Amino acid sequence: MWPSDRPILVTGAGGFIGGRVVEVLHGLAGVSVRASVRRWGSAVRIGRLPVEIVLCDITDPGQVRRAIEGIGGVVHCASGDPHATVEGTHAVLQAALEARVDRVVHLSTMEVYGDVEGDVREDAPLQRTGWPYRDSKIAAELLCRSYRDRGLAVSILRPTIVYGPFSRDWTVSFAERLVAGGNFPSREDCQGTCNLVYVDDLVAAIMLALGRKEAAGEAFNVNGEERLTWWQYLNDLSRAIDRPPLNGGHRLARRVRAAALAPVRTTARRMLDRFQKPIMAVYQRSPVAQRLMRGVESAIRRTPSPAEYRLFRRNVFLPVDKARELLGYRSQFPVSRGLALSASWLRHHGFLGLPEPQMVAPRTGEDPL
Amino acid sequence: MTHSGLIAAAPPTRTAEPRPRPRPRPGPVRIAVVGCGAIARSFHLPALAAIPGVADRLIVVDPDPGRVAAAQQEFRASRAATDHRQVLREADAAIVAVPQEFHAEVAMEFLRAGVPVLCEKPLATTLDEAKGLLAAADAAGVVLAVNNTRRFYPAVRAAREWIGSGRLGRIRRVAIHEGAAFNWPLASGGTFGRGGTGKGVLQDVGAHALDMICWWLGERPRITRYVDDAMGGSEAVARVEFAGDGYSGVVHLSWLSRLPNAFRIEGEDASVEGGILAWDAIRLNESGGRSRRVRLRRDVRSFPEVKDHVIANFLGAVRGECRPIVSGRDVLPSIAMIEECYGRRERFLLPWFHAVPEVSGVAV
Repeated sequence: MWPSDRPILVTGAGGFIGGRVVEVLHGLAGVSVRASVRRWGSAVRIGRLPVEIVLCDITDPGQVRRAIEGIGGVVHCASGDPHATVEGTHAVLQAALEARVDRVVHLSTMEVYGDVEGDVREDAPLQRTGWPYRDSKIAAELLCRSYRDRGLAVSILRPTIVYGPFSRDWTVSFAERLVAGGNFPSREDCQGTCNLVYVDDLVAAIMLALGRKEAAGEAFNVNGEERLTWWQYLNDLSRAIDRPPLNGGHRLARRVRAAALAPVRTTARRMLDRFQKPIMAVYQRSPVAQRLMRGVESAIRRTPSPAEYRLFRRNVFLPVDKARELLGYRSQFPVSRGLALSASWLRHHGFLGLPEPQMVAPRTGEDPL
Repeated sequence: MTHSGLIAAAPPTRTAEPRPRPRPRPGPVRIAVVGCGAIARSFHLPALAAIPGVADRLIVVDPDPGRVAAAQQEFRASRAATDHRQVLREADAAIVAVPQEFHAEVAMEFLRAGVPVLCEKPLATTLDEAKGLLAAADAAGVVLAVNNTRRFYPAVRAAREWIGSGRLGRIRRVAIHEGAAFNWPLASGGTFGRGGTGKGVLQDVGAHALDMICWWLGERPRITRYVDDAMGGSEAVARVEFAGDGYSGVVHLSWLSRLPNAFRIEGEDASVEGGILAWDAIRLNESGGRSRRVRLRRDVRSFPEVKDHVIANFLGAVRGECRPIVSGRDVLPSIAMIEECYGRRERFLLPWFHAVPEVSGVAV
């Protein structure tokens, strides 16, 4: 059952997953929500709802304590650089313990299992590999375990490839590349398993983890239940947005191109990290610089990275038996449905051409809001 | 179709040829910048801090003591205050850069005290408020200018000149699509969520886009439909459809995704299209399929230069040397349109929003 009558705090509410948690809990389920964002600019999406929004730097324990006052449950979606991920999680757990919060749901990632292959269940070891994102998410999980041992009811969710509306990594960027002509690795290089979960399935799992007593102290894989290859996903997405099937392509030529662009990618990122201000000043003042920088950015965005090659070839699958047995989780959004919803969202927001004008809610009839 | 605005109210520095960046005549003016949020710190204060006779007399005002102190230090302001009422009698002119919902209230107090005002857009949130400000400015005999910066953009000005010249023929269709993922470093969040203004992208970006429409066409078109995605808070995507004598049009705005950020104006004889932020050229399509790039004037060459022109024009207007490029009266049609839109809003159909998952065994 739902843990308490007190509001739910959603951290990272300006992000892709946190934003949807707020929309579903507050807008559709009528749960009282406090949404925490790091900067006001990221409140645009959830600001469409009459929800309580607070500004909170998750790494500042004092601010987190204030945000958590009077809260019954926490959905911790915020993450960032390794410091923000680890220290932010620490601050949230400590404040939740002090405030006697009934349940904390911590959003982790499938990446904590490392570069393993095969079916991976929740008892598999967590493996650091030197990749800061992965290692910091492992550190955050270990903090959750230590607070569990101190009596905090914390659940860990390890979502897989979360797609759907507002997913920049797995929906928007792929759709944009498909619209631009579909430069992806060849068919042979896309035969790994795409562990695809629609964002609303993840939100359902979050609600179950908040509400079911069996969730306390446990970690759960959250995945869809279809085993697709990346090649299938990319083609299904292409079809959903009315684009042609992917061309299988010349494997070697594509690999050579990706490898050739790799140093450009690395150098551009380093330059931007170190000299962002002067670069942006030049960009704003010079049309020539604008064209040049946009060209480089577009080439980088359209060309598969070495990391993408590794991901698309990986044969790993995260079963959800544990979530099914303990929480009653089941995927309600098969890929066909998730992609249809994603495609209508992409159209509405102009990612596939000018936004479509005809989608207006009827003036009469029952309004779910 | 009238041809006033930029041409009749030209700044003293305007010529058809490329010209150097505006250099306001030196001379002491004590300017109060009210509100030290993102627009003040990125636009007004850097421009003011570069002008002799103005920089050393700057007053900064913000209710947040930390923010006003930081602005005072960064821009070496001579005075800082936490309440604009403390400086009503000290300032020779005021720039109102507070959150939108307080523009009219703060501007009114300065105008009533006889202080000229450059107000951030939108001047006001209702037509009545805006008319009240105009009346106050007229009564006090002081300048009321509005920072509708688009009227300084070369592409936007060129489009108006093409329409005015008659070379496009009778106007049939006007479209603006403008959007980007919102990343403005807002200092306050009064726009969003519970207790917010309930007015989002239309009042913000729409204050520019609808002003462009009214300025181009020389009139206020009638609204045929307004749709947005507010669900009890403030809208992030908005679509205004409008029509006038022989023409129709659309303004589509988004805070959630990147749109072309471009306009297209179709006439019976030719059409013109360009990026709102184009600084070098726009495209003219003539009947018979001929299409060519038309170079823009190089007097404003980039966004950072716009602020120097805006401030130079305001200072000139305060000194009685020129008229403001955008006066309070100029923006009445767009303010009326925005108000009318909010009064008749419909909501987009958002099927992905309502596809809520079922969760069994959890009482919510």
